[in-house]
Amino acid sequence: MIKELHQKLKNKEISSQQLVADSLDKIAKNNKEINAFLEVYKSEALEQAKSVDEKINRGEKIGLLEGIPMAIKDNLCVAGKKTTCSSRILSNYKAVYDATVVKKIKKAGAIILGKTNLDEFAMGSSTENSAFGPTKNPIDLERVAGGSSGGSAAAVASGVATWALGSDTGGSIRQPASLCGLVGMKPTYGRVSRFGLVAMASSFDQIGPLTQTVEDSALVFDAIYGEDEKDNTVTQKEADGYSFAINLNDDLSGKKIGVVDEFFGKGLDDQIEKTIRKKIELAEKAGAEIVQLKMPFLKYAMAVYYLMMPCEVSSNLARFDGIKYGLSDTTQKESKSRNISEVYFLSRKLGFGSEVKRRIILGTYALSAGYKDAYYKKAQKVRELIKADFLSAFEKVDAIVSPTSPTVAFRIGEKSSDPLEMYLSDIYTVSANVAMVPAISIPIGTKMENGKNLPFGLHLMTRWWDEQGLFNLAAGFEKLG
Amino acid sequence: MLKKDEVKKVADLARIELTAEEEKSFALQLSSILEYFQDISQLEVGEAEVVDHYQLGINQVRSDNVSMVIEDQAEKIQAEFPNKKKGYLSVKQVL
Repeated sequence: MIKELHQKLKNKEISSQQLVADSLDKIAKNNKEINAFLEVYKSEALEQAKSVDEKINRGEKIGLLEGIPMAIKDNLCVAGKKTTCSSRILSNYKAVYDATVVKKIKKAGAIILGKTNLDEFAMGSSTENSAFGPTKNPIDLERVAGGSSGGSAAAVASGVATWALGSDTGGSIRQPASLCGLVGMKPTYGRVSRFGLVAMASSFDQIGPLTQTVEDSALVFDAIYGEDEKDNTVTQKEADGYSFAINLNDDLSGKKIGVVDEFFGKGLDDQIEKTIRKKIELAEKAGAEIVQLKMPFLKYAMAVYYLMMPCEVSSNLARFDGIKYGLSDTTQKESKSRNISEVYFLSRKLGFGSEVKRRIILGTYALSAGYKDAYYKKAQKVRELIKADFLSAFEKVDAIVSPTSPTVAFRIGEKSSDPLEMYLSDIYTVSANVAMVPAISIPIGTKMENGKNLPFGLHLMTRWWDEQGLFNLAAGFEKLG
Repeated sequence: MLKKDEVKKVADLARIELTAEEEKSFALQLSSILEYFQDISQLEVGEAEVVDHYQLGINQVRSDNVSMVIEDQAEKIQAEFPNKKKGYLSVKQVL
């Protein structure tokens, strides 16, 4: 998609201004209903498109992402623009600087259409936890777009943006990609700078692309990976300018693909299971070797995640206190706070939604005296055992295959009363964040429900830093059709 | 099973005021989530070592140079203060 658009721009078959105008038209028509965008940068986008067109007309070279409209999840800072995290507590906050990824894509000439909706502070699997209303799935407006990067997924799935950036802490890129029929990729922890991403759970968070194709995913990844002095967890393994897209190779022959029983367990939709198993057979016919794996600690990944993540959340969200920035009780019409302590309590009461409060309290509980060893420290150790499981698995195979989500998109409101049931939508995706390995979801089939073809994804994980292998295998599966 | 007053105590630690209804529903919901953790709290982990950045990740370091915040950036940061006096962050009485 990106490459074709790039060619068309270069050949002047289409102009960047046309692309942007078309996107803005669609936003004007659909956004009220879909609620993918929280803010649209109309005049800046048009102006930027005009200057790209002028550049093309002058015969200057343009980059692959240049002049092509995209969207950004609203937990990434864009200087001078609102960065709300879909929370009341930041509803008027303007970012002071660009996130490193934003700086990079601006440099690449991508046109930022605006900011997309998410579950408040990226906490959720349906984008229903947004303070600004849920995002609807463009394929079926009665259903969720997934989450937490639901706005980014809906922006791409509705054809408004060619690609979008999301963030993934437990599946927040891959699960909405699965539910909206897109490719969603989470890099190895430490691949992409998190500077300027509003932190949720710092040892799990990564930024990644939502796109229509695997090649597009690799193209965007090319633009965002790499070292950053502002995030010292980032490591770069390749020479500067290495392109994962150019080195893409979709040949499945000789590849060893692991299958784990835990990923085909209770709660998995029959049709999704059948389709994934069928694709695995097809991969075998295409020359891949299928290896049955045992990963005894994998089944604890959910528990580890839903314990460690709230701990990190409770610590990261302590900064929202009504003092330095964001919503403050002191500036409310009916301000009741008399001292600094009451400012904290009342600002946080007003500013945070239920899910955020729930996770902060759970994390505070698990970290409190007397419980820290039993919960947080124990979970940290189990996390290492899960990583060790992955380490020995990747001595035998190149990748592990599974479904992305146990179900297709569910109805809005269907799971919002039971947090634990909602958490289980991440059952196949969290282990990649727990183990810190790269992972991707690609659209692999659809299930007909009430006259709508609802998409679902196939999920692949590879060893640490092997994004090339991940893209290659994903392209191989994509080719199987 | 988490009790309502335990939830209240933890909420106090987290500096969040909860409504009576939230205290009740959180006690129930958090209990069911904590039950889910029973699985791992029973688990024998032995001497599993905690490694911060598994496999080949190298922490990047940079020299510790003092640099001044660019002037208009300081203004932008100040613009986000809920309350300010003469460019300083103003807060309610602490003591």
